[in-house]
Amino acid sequence: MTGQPFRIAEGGRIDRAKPLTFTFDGRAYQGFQGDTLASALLANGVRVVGRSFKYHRPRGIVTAGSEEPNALVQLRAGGRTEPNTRATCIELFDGLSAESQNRWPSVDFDLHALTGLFSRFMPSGFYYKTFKWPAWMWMTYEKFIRHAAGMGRSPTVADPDRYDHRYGHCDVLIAGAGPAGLAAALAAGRTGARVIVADERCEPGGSLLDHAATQGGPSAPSAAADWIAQSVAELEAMPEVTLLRRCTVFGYYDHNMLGLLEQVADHQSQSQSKADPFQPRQRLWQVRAKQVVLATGAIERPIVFAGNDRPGVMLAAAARAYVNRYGVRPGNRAVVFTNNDSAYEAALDLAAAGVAVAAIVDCRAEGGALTETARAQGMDCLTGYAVVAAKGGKRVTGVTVMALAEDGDAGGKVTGGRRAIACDLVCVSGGWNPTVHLHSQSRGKVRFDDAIAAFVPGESFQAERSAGAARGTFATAACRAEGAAAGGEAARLAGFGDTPPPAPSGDEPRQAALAPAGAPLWSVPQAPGGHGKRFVDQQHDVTAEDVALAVREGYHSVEHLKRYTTLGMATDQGRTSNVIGLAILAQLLGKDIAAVGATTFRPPYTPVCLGAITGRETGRHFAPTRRSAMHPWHQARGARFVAAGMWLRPQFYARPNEAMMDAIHREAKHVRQHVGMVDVSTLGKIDIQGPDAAEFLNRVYINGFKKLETGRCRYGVMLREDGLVFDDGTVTRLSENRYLMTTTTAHAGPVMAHLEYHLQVTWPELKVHVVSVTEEWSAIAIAGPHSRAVLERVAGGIDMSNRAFPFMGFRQGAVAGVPGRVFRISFSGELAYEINVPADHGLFVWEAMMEAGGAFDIIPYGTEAMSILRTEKGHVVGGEIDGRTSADDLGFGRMMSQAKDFIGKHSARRPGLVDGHRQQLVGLTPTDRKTRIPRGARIVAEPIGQVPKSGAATPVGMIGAVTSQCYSPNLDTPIALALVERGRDRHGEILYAASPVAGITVPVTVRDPVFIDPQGERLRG
Amino acid sequence: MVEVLPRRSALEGALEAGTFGAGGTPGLTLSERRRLAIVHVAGDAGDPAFTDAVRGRTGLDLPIEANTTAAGNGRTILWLAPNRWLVVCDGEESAALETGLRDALGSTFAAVNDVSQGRTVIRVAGARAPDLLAKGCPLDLHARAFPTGACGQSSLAKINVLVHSVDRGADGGTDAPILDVYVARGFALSLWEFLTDGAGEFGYTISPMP
Repeated sequence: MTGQPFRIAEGGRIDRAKPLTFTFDGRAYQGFQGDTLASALLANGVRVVGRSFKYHRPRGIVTAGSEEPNALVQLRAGGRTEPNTRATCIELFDGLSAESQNRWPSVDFDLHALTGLFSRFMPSGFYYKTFKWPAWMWMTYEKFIRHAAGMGRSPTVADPDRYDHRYGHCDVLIAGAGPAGLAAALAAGRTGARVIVADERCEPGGSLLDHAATQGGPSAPSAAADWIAQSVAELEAMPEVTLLRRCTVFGYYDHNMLGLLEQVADHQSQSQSKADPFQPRQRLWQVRAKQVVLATGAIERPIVFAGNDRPGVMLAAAARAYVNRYGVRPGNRAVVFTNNDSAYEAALDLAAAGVAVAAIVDCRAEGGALTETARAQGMDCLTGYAVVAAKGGKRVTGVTVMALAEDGDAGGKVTGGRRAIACDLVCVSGGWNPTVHLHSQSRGKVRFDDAIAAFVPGESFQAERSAGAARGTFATAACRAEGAAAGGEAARLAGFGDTPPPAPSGDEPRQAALAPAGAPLWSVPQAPGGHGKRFVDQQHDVTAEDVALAVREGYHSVEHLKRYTTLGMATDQGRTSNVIGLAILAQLLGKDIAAVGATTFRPPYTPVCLGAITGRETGRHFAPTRRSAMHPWHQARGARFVAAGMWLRPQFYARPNEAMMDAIHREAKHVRQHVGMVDVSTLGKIDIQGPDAAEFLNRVYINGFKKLETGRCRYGVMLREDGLVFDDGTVTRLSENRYLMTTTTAHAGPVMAHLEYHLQVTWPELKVHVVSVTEEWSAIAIAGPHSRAVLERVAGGIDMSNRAFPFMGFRQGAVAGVPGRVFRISFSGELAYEINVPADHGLFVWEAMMEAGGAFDIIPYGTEAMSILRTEKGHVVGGEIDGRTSADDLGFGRMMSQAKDFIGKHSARRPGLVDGHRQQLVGLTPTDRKTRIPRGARIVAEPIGQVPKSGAATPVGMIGAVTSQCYSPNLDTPIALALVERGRDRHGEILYAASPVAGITVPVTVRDPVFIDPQGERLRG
Repeated sequence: MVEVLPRRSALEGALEAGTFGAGGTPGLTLSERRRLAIVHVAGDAGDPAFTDAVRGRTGLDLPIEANTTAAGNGRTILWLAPNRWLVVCDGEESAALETGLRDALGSTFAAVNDVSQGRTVIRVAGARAPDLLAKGCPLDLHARAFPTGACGQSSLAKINVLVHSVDRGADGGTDAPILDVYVARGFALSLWEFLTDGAGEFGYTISPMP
């Protein structure tokens, strides 16, 4: 434990009564409640917090906000670890542990820093260049590059915390709760509109919180602090206003949908989080806003000079925030380097906090509005000068200053003698960039404003407007006025209040004194003989020289420059570097920045972790599950389940110590010999009513339905409009004008949509209603020679005799006392029935039937046995009805009615669907009656040489493919269904099923697809 | 007349009465509305014979405006789509309701289907009820946008649902809103798990089933 040598004795928005202990790189330190990790590290004198991406240079803290390019740390450990978190945004909590990134073995001594010595071999685009020549060297480079680069480690175990999602709706969404955002929220909220205000920081107030005037606390109240407190209190008292702290508006999408990330518990210690285990760590919001106010403020930008990445070189506003808000001296002796007035305010605050200001280096020949004030305080103001280099290694030890030959210009020359100034802190201000990211994401245009040398929001594309510093208005009073006007206007457009459109802002200067006078200074050229690196993008180690090289190599477009040099492509998205890079590019091309243009801003504004995007959609909540009424029974009987769409269906019911295939074969055999029951509740059921129902069915099926009598079922096949098979199922005529259609499980939804479409669009004149009743009925299929005997025990009221209730018949009556529907249909080819009962009784009836079947040795069977039974019977399913087969291909050619029109009839006559070479459904058995026919095997006419051990012979002359295959326990041979060219003419031929995947070729005999009971005696018996 | 058969809800076994989640005053109550009669009615809203017949049997005018309901006499009619409604009755046999509607309609072109056992109705009530549904449902459930009597179909936790705004409090405020969520029976347990998991943050009570 060390003291906090850089902590100022008093002041700041920290709670000195609440000391907190934390560790950084394993070493314990102390900070206070209200600190960020960055301010606490600075208070403890820690200056090097990481190593850079490419050159592994020591790096320190540059900013005090979310734009931080350098101070990225690995936060927490284990499943909660998070890489690339910005130390400037991490609120300190007790027990926090963080580690520096990208250093080996330690942040103080990093072997990869040697990379810097070879940096001339790593110019812009070096990564791409390693691919090019010599290509074989890439394998060598790769090992080196992969080890050296990278930004932290991803967790290797599951994150134990909760993340949540929520949808939000509001009339006015306000991004940012600084002076403009708070004023906008008050104006909008007072109209009664529903308002959401989101701010990324832990307390509202924005940049005001960084100013000396807001630090007084109870002993020294200030107008600004009072205004913030009163505004927040008023907003929190409004029932329709939601004020979200620690909540970043990270994305602006179509139709005024915005993404917000609320860091609910990131600032809490583990014990605090444990106290409320139901609270999510983070919450992702999707908000639909009628109107949006962007009050996102502005970000200070640096000035490029040699050695500008040395720890201790920091943005002036950040230094100001550390002394005022956090009570921390970021150094003992500062040099301030600026091209505008704002850094003077920082200098004055630093001096007041006891930091010696060695010099203010102002590139403007005449200085600015505050130059005389600074001089009056005894500060050395060097106007018309620039910092050409910062000295030092792990921390800055001084700067070299030279005069500028001409008043600030990106290509300005430095001249005259060099003056060395010793210091341990360099505060830089190169002007301010309005945070136009969200405006740009919303497809709003940006425009370069010469007055402030920055991009400002131009024309809006969606219902949004910017206010305050985000619009290039920097004076606090003007920000408030603009915010109030924007908030009122947004509310009015959303239908609340009657605030007139904003009046011209009057006497208040829009930009106050922050604008750089004259042309800005973007980067300071090397002093004669100088060679220090001049960084533009510190996070991706892109230098001004890299930009120049890219331009020389022909990358003149901003988008090309970005990708070639990776400028602005790091996790900070070039928040502090992009505009400077553009300015250097423009200067090298001899163009205006406006003509060069800006790259596109994309969401997210700040990184969003995958946990927040996933939310609660993990584990059992990953996707919804659909269960039948009998699910608990299946579960209790040890069924293994298989997903069928969202349904969970029993796949098989293994007995103790029974292997999977044994269970499946036992079930399939048992059904044909005795009796079995399968849950078929998942099949689609559509109730069709109306005087034109028969006509409607006639039009959607290939076969006729007009003559179907009440109390009878019929199998039907429907085509798509392109003439290919869509689905099959049965239709039962329940009464005069009422039918029940069944569909396959997979096509229940699509068939319903198909029917609705044709009723609404094609034949609105038909008097027919269709209603999905899938979920109303539990469905049980009972199959096997004893199925009638079992049913007679539970449905005594129905005459089950073959004469009274023949195959394809339908009866209504009580099953186990429950009013139900009984259909004599068969998928297995055995004597079989399907029973439908209202779903709340499904489990009861299932249990009653199992009990009644006890005397007949009844078993439940799953989808695997069902699939074997139907394959033995040659019934087609999804493998055959695959969207490429015609009715004739599948053997339904003769079902196609010539006497009527139906959907797909004309398309089915297309030449390609009727030529003699189509593949047709056949059955296959291996010639040796032993070898399994490989799944998905191709069918070829000739054996193709010896099959090499390491793979199959190349299947040439493919004439078909296996669509379903299994071992038939009832025939004791493997069988398969296949689609084979002219297959119906080939019965008896020997062909070959070749599987390049399985590496085998099996000789097979072609035969009729119905393997069992081709005459149908069993099912009619 | 068969004796009344035991009905087993899709939430049987999962619905355990008690107070759960975060401490303090529970923010909401979850319960299941069991033994409702729910009948799907399809017919031509422009045909007086149809609308009169429904009024005759239910005492309610069919709501014609999208996403609205009609309620009274312990019955509610929810608008589903043009020419489609759900008639929901508490304390009435669904078969009687279905038959009664069919008889009242006579030869009028319409379709009546008892769907009582194909739907599960979960009641979410209390100050935080809209906040719970907002975790997975993109509908705007604020009292201004979704007042008493409104209904809407959307997804909740990727499951198709119908949400009925039963009561938003006397002042139209959000003191104790009551929202009914209609879900296909097969998805009911999945939705229940999503709701109870999400409600932990607010603290919640599950009402005992009678």
